[in-house]
Amino acid sequence: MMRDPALIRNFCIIAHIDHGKSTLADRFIEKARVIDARKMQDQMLDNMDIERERGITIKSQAVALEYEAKDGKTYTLNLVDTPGHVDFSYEVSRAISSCEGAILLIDATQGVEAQTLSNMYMALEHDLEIIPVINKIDMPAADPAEIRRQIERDLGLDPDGALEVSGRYGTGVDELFEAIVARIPAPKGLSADPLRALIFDSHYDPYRGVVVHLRVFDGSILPGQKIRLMSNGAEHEVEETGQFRIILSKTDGLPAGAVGYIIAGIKTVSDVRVGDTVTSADSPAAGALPGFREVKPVVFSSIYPMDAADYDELKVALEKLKLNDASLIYEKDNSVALGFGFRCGFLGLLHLEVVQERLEREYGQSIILTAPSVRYRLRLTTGETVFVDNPSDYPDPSRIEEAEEPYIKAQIITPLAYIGNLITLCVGKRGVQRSFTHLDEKRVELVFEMPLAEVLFDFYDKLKSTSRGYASFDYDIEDYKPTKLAKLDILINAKPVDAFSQLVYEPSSYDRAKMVCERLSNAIPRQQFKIPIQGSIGAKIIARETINPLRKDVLAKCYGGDISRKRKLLEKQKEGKKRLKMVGDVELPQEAFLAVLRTNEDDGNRS
Amino acid sequence: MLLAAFPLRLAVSPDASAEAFSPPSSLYVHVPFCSSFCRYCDFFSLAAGGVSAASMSAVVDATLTRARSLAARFGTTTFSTIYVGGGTPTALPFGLLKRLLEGLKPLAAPDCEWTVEANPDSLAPEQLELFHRCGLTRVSVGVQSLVEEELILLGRSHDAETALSALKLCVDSGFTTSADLIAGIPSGAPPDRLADSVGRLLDAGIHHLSIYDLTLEEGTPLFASVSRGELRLPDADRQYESWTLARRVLDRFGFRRYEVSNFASPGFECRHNLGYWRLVSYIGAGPGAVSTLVGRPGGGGAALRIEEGRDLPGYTADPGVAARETAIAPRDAAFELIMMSFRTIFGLDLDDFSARFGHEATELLQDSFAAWKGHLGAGESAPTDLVARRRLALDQDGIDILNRFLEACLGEIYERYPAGGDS
Repeated sequence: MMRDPALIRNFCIIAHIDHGKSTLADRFIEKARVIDARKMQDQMLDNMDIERERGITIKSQAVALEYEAKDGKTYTLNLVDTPGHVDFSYEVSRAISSCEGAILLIDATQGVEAQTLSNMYMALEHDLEIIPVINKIDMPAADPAEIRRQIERDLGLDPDGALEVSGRYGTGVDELFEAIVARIPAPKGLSADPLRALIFDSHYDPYRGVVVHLRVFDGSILPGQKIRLMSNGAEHEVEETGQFRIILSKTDGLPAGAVGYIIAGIKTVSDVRVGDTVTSADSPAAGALPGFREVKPVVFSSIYPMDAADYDELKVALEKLKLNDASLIYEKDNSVALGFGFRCGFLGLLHLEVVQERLEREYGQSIILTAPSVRYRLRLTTGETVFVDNPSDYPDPSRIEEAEEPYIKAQIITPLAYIGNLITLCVGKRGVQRSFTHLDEKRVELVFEMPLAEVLFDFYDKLKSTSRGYASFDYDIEDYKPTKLAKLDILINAKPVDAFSQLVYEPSSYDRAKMVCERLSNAIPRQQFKIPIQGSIGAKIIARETINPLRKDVLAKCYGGDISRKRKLLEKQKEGKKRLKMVGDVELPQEAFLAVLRTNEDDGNRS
Repeated sequence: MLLAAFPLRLAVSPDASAEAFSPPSSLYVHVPFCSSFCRYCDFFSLAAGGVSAASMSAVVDATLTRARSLAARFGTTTFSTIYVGGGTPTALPFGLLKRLLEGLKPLAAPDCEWTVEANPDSLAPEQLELFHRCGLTRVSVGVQSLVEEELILLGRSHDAETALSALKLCVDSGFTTSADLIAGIPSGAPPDRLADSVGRLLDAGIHHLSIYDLTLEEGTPLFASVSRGELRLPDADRQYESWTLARRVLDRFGFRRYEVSNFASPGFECRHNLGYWRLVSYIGAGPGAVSTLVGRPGGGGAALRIEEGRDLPGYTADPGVAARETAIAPRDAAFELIMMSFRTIFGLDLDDFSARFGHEATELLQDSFAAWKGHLGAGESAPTDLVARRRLALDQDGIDILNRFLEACLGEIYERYPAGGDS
């Protein structure tokens, strides 16, 4: 049944991480009686394990709720869920632009944070009606009055329009529903116009193929219709249209204003681009909806199987992962030390970690990742410009005229007490301060321009420890700026191990080399001979550590009573060594690779 | 009990297969009682105070019966070495100890090396007289440390002086006397303390010394203390320093390290233990003891392992029923021979290996031997050699990292050892 657009409300919930977005979404669904309360899994919108463990939403999902308002009419409330991490800000922006309104959720115990602000700006850019909502009012530390002050002062919104809720107990959710109906405008757009629908997400269903999540702005989509993706002209026939209930719920079409899905014989999510416009193949719209851009990976790392024989298995796992993760890109790579693997591009460090964990946990792969890198822009003496993210592609330094690296705009909101240390941290990370704004008497917003490579390295952890977890952080990729670049090689037993090479800011190379050598010397177990570990730039050794030879590795006691047990012990020990990678004549455990990959500086001195 | 043990028995009739094994030349007798427990030990033993005299007596009788029946089954009448260990054999009441030793006496060959383990605080002159009367030749005393705070930390019931006077008593009574020490006790003692203890023991006139690096066995109180972080094990370099200092003292006294943890004046090596390290057939009687019967030359190499039951009532009712017999496939038996042999400076007897398994060790392990050639040599001739043998042994540094060598051998032997035969 095609619903009258006047009875549709499209909205999203935007919040800083951990401000309770998913919990509130659960209560919405419960209240709307889409499903029985007993069947609710906590935070059911976050349906991937890793997301649940980390409490963050990576893939957005939408849910349609039927709500009978006090005016006696039944409205369709489309909740468009948004990813909750800075790596996915483009996806957030597409989800936001699919809505007419946004619930700006603020934790009553935490107040306005960096992502609260950046998400609000994004919502304002898209002319969304914003309903400020103070969440977690059940908490003893909740201070709604203070949050109202922050809403007025920091956000410039009317504090009287703010609602107070408890996502956990459902308090205030009825009032919030009424506010959504009353304050968020109904979608405009005419079903008679040529079709224009915005793709804000997609997912892969093993039985149905790709399910495209979209918002119809103009026109309507009907099963059987031929559609065209405006970015690349690809055409498909719509097999099914529907709404997001807890399961996909088939409809006889999607009218202007609707949020829903289509299934159209598309094989992989990579064929669907978030932000693209769907139009009719027979009577296409004149122009696409604004805001489309290609999402480009900014962080790169190579993934190798721990056991070279598992390459094909890893390949299959990546192919499957890619079905549901359009942002992941990869190509074949190979290393002298590690054999065949894949060079992968990620949206950010978190995205990298998620992919790593999914490969290990969902696909049972035992893998090695190389140190993450950004993509550098090099102008060569020949006048040619090349992009390099893989240390093995780094040209001979004599051929490089100029090197540039990507910069970000980092926005940090922090209590006053930590400003000094945070500025020191950012400056230490080559940050240049752009602005300093007092939000109120207690909190400050700092904007820094800094190299993305520095954020990759250990910025997050330092930011959190420096501010005892109180500072919040958001970033946008900006432009390339000149840098001094060097390729740091690591030699183990005098042989360079290409998998440990990394591109570094030249003035920091000594410190980095020293740290990597130290970590490796802690992570590599003693072997029969002395092993030097060296860091070098070109032929110049800039750091050195030594692993002393193994003194003893022998079972002290072995007599007649425990021969079977000792044999089994050795078999087990031997089995454990299968997880070691022979590089030259040195056995490297997976921990050695993790030690180099690890981006925080606090060394757990395990011995 | 019968039903539970039944499926574990060897499918073939043991008596029929007894012919396939080399007759045992060594007998181990396990006395599973201690008067107190040490905080590091996971050997099978029960508190002597918690077991009735009648029950102990039944165990002694069952053990003697079992020793005789296993000897008969595998075609041996007397043994060239006997080792009475535990537990603490001297924790037995005197009368029972006497009954045990007198019962074993007919099983001892005329030149038998016969050892008994003793604790310093349960060793009395009357016991030594008994040992003499029965024909024992060797006493092995568990000293573990001569540092008082370490003895307390280990949960030992004696002090250093008691240990030294017990040793002197054994030496003066004409026994070949051996002592045990533990290295790497997490006491924070300076690295030269081990060498001090060694010097004092050697001054007391002992002939043989075992120094074991502390092995933390899961489930022991010491393991728990270290896991909880209450105690910290000395690091590898510090342990090695302490070990090196002790080795110097041993050299000065003419003690030779002939096995991973064992030192002796030449000629005083423990023949019984050398038997294990050559993997000869041996019988183990008493609750928890183990027998190994190795294949006769030319017989394909399969071995038989018998683990005695640990449950005392079950054991006294019928030790044969309580035992678990396992066939050891030729490939595993071959690796066991490698694993045991390379522990000593006498190394692997290549002729013996090829006679047992019908394969040359130098072919089965060609890559491992090649990779380790820097540590491998012809080895010392063993005290048990009657004629010159082809031997291959690790040098002292190689023995220190034996596990690495064995890991290489394990991989290679599993790859190369021909499949087929027993599984």
